[in-house]
Amino acid sequence: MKNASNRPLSPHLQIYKLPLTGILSITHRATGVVLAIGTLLVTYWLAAIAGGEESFNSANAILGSWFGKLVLFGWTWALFYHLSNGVRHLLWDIGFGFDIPTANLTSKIVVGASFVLTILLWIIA
Amino acid sequence: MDYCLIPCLRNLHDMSILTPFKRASGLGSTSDGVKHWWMQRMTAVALVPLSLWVAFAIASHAGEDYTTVAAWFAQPFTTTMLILFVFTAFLHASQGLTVVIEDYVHHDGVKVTALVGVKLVLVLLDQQRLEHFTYRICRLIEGANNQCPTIKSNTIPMTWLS
Repeated sequence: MKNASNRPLSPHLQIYKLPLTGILSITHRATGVVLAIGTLLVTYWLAAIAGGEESFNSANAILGSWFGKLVLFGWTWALFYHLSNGVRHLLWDIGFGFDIPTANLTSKIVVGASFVLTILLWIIA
Repeated sequence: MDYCLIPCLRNLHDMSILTPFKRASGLGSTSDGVKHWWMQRMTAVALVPLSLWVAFAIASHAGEDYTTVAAWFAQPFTTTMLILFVFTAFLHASQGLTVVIEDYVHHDGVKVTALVGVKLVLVLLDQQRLEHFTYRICRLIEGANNQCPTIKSNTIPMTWLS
């Protein structure tokens, strides 16, 4: 839709330096889109179990290759990031943590939690 | 679906001095925004335990052989959790992608095509997979001679992705 008065509707991204909370916000969207595609991989693995031994082994060969592992590693980080930041969004929805100091603090907690959970998962796997 | 059919048509006749607020005011809501917003939160709440469980459960079974994994997979609790996860995750994904498209795609034709595409692909995929899972799990539990409901084509999901 055209903006009749030509006033800017959002910050000029090449000039405006995104604050930490802004970077987390756009990363939340990006990981959401990535997860929508990546979750197909998980269901592929589940369908491969249901399909029998042959399809299970071929799925494991694909996902267990170095490239498969790299993709899965990225998927788990995206999942845990989106999960942690999603909880932060749910807290906002019930009215908690809107002030700037708290928002900055929870930003750091979210990034930390996403890496901790990812590393924990790959220690188990 | 909340694309801007009426505001967009009005825009064609509206050159100029009206502000965006003035153009939008008085047109009313598209009716399903609150439900969409609320359902996205509800699926998000459900996905907190579900996705944590799925990620760590799958990780703890990584590298095991087929017999072990299939036995785990056929347990009622596992099956229930996986079906809930797949269904909720794709619903949440479809709602999220809808919002992203609405925000960033400004060409009406492309926008509507993408929105309909997301709905059809994700919802159909979900449906196919649920049918496929249910059938295969029934076979695993009941064995080859069984009363499992047949599905139209149980090879479709596999050929799509393998």
